[in-house]
Amino acid sequence: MTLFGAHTGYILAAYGLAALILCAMTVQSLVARAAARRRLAALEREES
Amino acid sequence: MAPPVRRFEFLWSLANPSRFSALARRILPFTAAGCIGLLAYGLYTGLLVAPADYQQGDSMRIMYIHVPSAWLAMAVYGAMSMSALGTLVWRHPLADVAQKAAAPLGAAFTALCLITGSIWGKPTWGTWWEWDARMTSVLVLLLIYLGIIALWRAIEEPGRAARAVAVLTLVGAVNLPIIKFSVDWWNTLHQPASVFRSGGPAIHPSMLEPLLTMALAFLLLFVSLLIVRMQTGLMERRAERLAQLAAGEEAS
Repeated sequence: MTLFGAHTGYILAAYGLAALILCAMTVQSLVARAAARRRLAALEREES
Repeated sequence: MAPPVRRFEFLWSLANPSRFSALARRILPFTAAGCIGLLAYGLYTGLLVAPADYQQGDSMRIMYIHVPSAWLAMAVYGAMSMSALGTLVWRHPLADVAQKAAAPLGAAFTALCLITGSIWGKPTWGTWWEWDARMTSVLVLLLIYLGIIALWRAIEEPGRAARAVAVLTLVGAVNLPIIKFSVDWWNTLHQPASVFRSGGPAIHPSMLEPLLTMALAFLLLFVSLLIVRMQTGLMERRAERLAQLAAGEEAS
């Protein structure tokens, strides 16, 4: 792929790693919220 | 002079977790949709429309993720410092929740800034890393973020942890002006500021537009994830209280 000439590898590496880090951050945040919601719902059920 | 409660009335109105949660639920779809739209437009203009730099060639396109990451790394720390004041001075009940939620996001943006800067440095300077003032001070920022995250985990009692983290955050804030002015105070390999400088931006509008678009997209991503993580923190806090209540009832 020569879309960006000699710098293609650097650009793809930078954007690829950025996508990986930002996606990981997003997924981790959503998974943690879902887990907290489940735990809270279970405790509220027990309480009532 | 108005009393603090009056001056920060909006922030105090959010002190009620259920009011904050209701507002967060309304805001989140807009920040998330705005982030996705701006990211798509910024990537399109940055990678395919904006011209290559006359000196650096196409490697300059790394700027569209490197610079927004650097801005966010510092802005998140600035916001955390305000939250630290909120914890120590105004004792706002959501300040520590916000600070705890923001720290991993700030660390991720700082790591992204260092990684993309290193990749950009190789074709531009001929090296992956140099111990110059800008790069070293940003690395110190990452270490401070990691220290803050570690301190949250090290102290069990949440109130004590919040106060200790707030103090560490305020001490670490001294690094922000060092990062900003490092390129002026010392001879660095890193270029001086080219957007936020006296005399206006030194970047051509065809490159400035995708840069600002990506910066806004990153800001909206941060706001969206901060809301999600604060919702998580509030639910965990409530769950902890319920678990303690249940344990107390069992004991009696």
